Amino acid sequence: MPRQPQPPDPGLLQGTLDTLILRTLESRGSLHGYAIARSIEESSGERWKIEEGSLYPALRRLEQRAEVDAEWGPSDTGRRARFYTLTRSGRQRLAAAKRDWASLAQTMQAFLGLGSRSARPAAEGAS
Amino acid sequence: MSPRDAPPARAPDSPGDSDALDAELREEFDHHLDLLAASERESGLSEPGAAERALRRFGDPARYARRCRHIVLGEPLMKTKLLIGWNIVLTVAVCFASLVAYRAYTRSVGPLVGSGSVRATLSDSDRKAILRSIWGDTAGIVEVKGAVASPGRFQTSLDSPLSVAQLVEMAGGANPDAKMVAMARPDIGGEAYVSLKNAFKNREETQLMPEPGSVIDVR
Repeated sequence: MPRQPQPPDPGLLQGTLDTLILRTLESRGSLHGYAIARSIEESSGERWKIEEGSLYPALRRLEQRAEVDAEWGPSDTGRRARFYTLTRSGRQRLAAAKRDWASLAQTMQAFLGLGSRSARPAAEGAS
Repeated sequence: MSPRDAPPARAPDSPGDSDALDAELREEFDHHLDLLAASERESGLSEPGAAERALRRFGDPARYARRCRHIVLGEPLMKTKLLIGWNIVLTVAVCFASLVAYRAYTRSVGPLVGSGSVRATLSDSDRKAILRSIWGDTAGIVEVKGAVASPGRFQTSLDSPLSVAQLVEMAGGANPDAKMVAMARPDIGGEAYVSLKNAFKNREETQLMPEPGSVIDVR
């Protein structure tokens, strides 16, 4: 029986929420908070379930750093929502985060003695 | 209207903007919670159950609003609070110092001008009359000596500082021979004295003034 995917250790996600948001906005364009939460959940195969309110401090922080822009506009429901868009500075930060993650993943794989075929999540490898 | 047409977001930096931020966060969170509740209803939950589940998935809105406020307003708000606090402290200190100075002053003026009720409303003629009533036999005054650390003024009423010369002029005006000597007395530091010679009484009274600006009762 295949193992159910486990949510990642919350500590692992700490500090990566910004990157998740930036990546979501890069791939999906302008989104409001709820849509960002859905997108992150779907992209992770529903393995990453965050407390969705935590998105907003992260979004405000990114906005303060000018890595996202925020503008009010009508949502699909017809109600007003705040839409977030990736800025040029946000793209640069995301590119740097991707490089850092790639480097970290490579280092960890080597350290743990994992081959390139074992690069998939440990939960899948164990099943 | 597309999102692009909406007014640009701005970092609030005043109490008014702080209220605007609160309203903004409330609207944004409500939108999110309503969509979450709607999705829960679609999966078959009742209205209250859906709302409860939505809140559980979202987390504590008040806590996240506080975090957002800290991120957006944190430093400016702290500066504003410090500035307001400093102004309050300064105002209280100035008021307290003024009160202390006023009380010290009225205590020093009291012996000369008598009742406090007339102190602030003395005209020159009133003042002269009062001084004479206090000094008594002004015709007998032949000399008034006044000295301060540097020749200056004696404070004789709340609203009118008088020089030694004016004091003599008022007190001994009835006697054209009355004279005044004002001199510096560095040896007594910040203190001063005034003395009065009364030829009729044939005596000289001298009192040290405990503080610059205070007044001697020369009766």
